[in-house]
Amino acid sequence: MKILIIDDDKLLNKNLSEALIFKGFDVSSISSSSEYMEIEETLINYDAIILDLMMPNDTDDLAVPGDLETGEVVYKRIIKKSPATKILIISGKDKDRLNINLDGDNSVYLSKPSGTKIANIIRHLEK
Amino acid sequence: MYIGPQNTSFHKKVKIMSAVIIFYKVQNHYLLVSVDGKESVFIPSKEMNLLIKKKQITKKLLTQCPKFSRVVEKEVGIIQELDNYVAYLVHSKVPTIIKLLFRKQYPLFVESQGEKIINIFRLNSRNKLLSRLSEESASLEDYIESFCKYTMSNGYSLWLYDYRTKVYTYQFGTFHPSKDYVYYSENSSFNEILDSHCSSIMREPSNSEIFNAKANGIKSMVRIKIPMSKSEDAILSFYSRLEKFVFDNALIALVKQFVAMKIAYSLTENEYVMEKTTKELLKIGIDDLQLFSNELVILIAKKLQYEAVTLLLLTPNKKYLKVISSYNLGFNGKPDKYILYPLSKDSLTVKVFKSDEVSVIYDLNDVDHSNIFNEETENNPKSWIGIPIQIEGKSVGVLRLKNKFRCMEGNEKTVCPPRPIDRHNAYLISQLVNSQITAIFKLEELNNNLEIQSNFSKVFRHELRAPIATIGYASENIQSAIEKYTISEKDKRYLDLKIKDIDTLSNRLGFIVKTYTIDDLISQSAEVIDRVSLLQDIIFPLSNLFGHYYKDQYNVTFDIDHNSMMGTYIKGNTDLCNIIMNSVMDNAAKYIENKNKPVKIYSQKNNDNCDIFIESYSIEIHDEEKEVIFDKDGRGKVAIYKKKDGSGIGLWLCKEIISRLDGNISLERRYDPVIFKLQFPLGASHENINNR
Repeated sequence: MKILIIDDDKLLNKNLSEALIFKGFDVSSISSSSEYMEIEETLINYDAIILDLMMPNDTDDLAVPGDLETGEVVYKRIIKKSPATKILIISGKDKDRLNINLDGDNSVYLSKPSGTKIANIIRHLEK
Repeated sequence: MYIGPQNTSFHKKVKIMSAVIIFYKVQNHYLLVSVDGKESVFIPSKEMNLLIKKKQITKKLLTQCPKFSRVVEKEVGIIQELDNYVAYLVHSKVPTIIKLLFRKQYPLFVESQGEKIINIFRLNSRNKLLSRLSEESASLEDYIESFCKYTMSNGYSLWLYDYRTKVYTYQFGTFHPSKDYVYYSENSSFNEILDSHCSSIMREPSNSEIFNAKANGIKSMVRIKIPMSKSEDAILSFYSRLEKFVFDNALIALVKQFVAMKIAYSLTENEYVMEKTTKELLKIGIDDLQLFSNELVILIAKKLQYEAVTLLLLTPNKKYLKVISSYNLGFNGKPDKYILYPLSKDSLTVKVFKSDEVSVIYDLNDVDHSNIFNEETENNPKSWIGIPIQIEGKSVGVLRLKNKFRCMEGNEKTVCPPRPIDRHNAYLISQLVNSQITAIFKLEELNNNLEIQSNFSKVFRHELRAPIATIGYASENIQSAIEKYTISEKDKRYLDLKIKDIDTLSNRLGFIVKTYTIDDLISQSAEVIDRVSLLQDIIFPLSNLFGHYYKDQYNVTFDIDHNSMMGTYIKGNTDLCNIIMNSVMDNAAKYIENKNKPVKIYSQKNNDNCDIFIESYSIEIHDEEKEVIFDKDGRGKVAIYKKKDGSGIGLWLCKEIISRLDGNISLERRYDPVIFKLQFPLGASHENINNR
């Protein structure tokens, strides 16, 4: 299973990637909105994306309105570009404060840190 | 008009009837009084002499006594002149009028009848006065007008002197003054009575009188000083066209008594209005400064009858006073113009702002027209009251009240000068508004602080989440590496222990972060659902999270009766229930005395509730501490003595939160074992869920 991790926290990104690799997943990771814009056209190559909502926006190519997080804008772009891709949203933001509607069964919200344990992530990936 | 007695025998002989009019001499005037004492007419002596000469008395009396003048056939002239009376004879055709009197009887007749009539007149006058003074609806001006009539004055005026501002302000009167206010420093004619020890003076008007006395024919006056308060006196003047105008002491005392009483009564009446207004003012919400200000100005204007009310507050940069709210007939609420009064410029508003006086009254024309103000609300600040608004002794604004307009001749309007009631109101309003404004500012300060704290808390929590998650991944990675790579058994066991430590720490940190979302959970009205599984959602997560921790930290084990909890659903919020449960479990473990006995947790259904019992052999809770332990900062004496650390959220907060979930926490047993009971409303049953 091919997974893309999008999280600006590089340490978390690295450890999560390693943890999933240990479990046999094929993992790529990016840590900025500018990197996302570079790989956006290749989204369909991924079976699942693990996306952090709270990221800074380091590119003018991505317009982030005042009332949305960078990750929320990226989420909307992902479901438009690659609707079949499963998305696991990992975030410290409370679920009831999300400014996006989660897209049916393809999107799951996992709250950091309790909901983002490896076992739980894997459970959702393999559903 | 006096008409003499009838003499029937003589009457028949005389075809033309005669009547005698008796005039009473009053200091170069002649007073004609009707027989019933109800009507009177004054004629100056010069004029009288002319009328007698021309035999035109009846013409003069035409308007006052039309009946008499119609029946007079001919005026004869004065038939008798005494010290106090003059008898004037007229002929009349009307038979009912009187007979001719015998000449030799005139003096006694005239004197006795004259005295009788004058006394009746005086009695009637006094009765009329007292009757008017006793009318509740009579105003202060009505009172003074009554005295004026009683004393046959030709005019009156009332001024007030404020010792603080050293200004005389005109209230009302017969002759309108050239200006409504006079400074003490202008050496006006009022200063004489103010500076003297006498409370009354009687003299002719001086050239420095505030109205043109000569033009009005005033030749003498009586001026009375009436103390009103420590800082205020009333100056009441009665004017006369007589050259000698005198009030006796009894009359002066009467005037002072009633005028002072009326002012006091007005203040009392006003107290009632103020009380009602105060109650309404206190009902205005103080959450929002603008809304409060808008309602404040409208309430004060309408209830206390002011033409305009304006509230100004200091801007954050402390350079200007800004109009926050303003009310007048054509305008109310937040002004649509940005109206500012620079503190650097010396205007009236700025003077009030800098004043230490609780209530200050200015009746000066604002000559500094450099103020920027809305014409409709701020125009002509003559005669308004300025109240400094202070919070804990520091000036923060000004409340201005402008009195009602009164119409002058034509369309001209002028503002009524400040009344005694206005000063009284100003003091009461000041106290009330200051306390309300202080409360608003304090509330805003509190909200700001809470917001700062809340923001800090959110940032803090947010920052912790990622590192905690990363710790978890790192721990997993070490575990995976152990499994994958060749490591000695001994090293493996060691690393396993470390991983367990890291996991425990990570779990605990995660739970602490969750606990600190409690303010969000409570303030946003936690979502309550009726399918919180006691086992799956509350007990298991906590046991998994803290099983090792309690064992390692406190050497305590938990004995959980899962069977008693099977299929039990409660109504609550998962996160909040976890936090409460954790706190109680933490307490049980922390205060345990007999570590050989595990902490027992079991549940029972009880009507519509689920009772969860946490039983531990912990330190005794004394009888008198049963309630104290649920108080804020309340701890048992033994706990304090044994220097046990406090952690979790405390029993007080547990109680607060569980009550919001319609539950309860109680101490069921104080020792051997200590038993706490958490009670939650039962939610949907397992059977009910399956049937959906």
